[in-house]
Amino acid sequence: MTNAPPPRPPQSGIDPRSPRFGAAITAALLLLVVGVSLAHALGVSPARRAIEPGFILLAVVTALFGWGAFAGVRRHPYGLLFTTLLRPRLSPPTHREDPKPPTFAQGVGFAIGLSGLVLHLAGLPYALVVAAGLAFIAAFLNAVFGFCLGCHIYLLLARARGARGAAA
Amino acid sequence: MNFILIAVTLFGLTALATAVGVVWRRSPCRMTHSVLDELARQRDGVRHVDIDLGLRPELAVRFRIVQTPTTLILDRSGVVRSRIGSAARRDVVSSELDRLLVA
Repeated sequence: MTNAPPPRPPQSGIDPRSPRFGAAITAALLLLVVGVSLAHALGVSPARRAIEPGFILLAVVTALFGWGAFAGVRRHPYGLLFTTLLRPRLSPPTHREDPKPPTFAQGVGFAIGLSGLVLHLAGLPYALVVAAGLAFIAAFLNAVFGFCLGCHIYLLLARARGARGAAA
Repeated sequence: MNFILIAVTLFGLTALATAVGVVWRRSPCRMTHSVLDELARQRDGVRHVDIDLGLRPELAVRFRIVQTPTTLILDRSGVVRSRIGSAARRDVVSSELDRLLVA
C-alpha cells in the first residue's frame, strides 16, 4: 500500500448521465416488447415466430445492446444522441466515469436479449416476455435510480479476478 | 391476452422495478452514505467521498475491499487510519473520528 491519494477517474471518462439517458429509452422499448409479445399468440413455426412484432422489436433492442457492448458505450447511438442533443443544454458533469462497467452492462443486456430471441424461435412460450421483463427491470433501475446492475456484476468479476491474482 | 391483463402486467412490472429500486435505496450502502454525509457536514475538516466500486473496480483491488459498504478514514496525506466493514453506525464512526482527531 502506498501513501499516494487514490487515482483520479480518467479525464477521458464518460458523462454519467449518458448511460442513464440511454437506459430510459431502452426501458421504454423493452416495456413495449413485453406488451406487444403478450398481445400476440406464439407462432406455429420458427419462420412465423421470427416475424412477430415482439421478436423484431427485441431483436432491434438486442442489436443496440450489442452495439454498446462491442463498439463501446461511447459509440452507441444513444450516447451520440446525448452528446449532440442533450449535453449542450445541460450543465457540465460534476465527474466523469469509466466507460468499462456500462459497456460490460450492455453485454449483459445483449446476452439476455439474445437468449430470449433464441428461446422464442425454439418455441418456448413467454421467452420474449421474460427476457424483455428482466432487461426492463435492469434498465429501469439504471434510468430511475441510477443503479447499474450490470456494472455491479462487472465489479464482482473484477473482485474475483483480483482475488485470483492475489492468490497466484 | 386481453388488453386489461396486458396493462396490469406492464403496471406490475414497473411497480416491481420501483420496489427493487426503493429496497436498494434502503440498502446498507445507501444508509451508510447518509450517516457519513451527515457526519462530514457536522465536522469541520472532515470530507466524505462516496465511491461506487462498480465504477472504480481498481480501487476495490487497491484498498483490498472485500465487502460493501466499507468505510475508510484517511488522513490528509491519504493514509488509511481506520477501516469499518459493513454498514457504518453513526456512534462508531463518530468515536473513530474523535479518537483520530485527538491523536
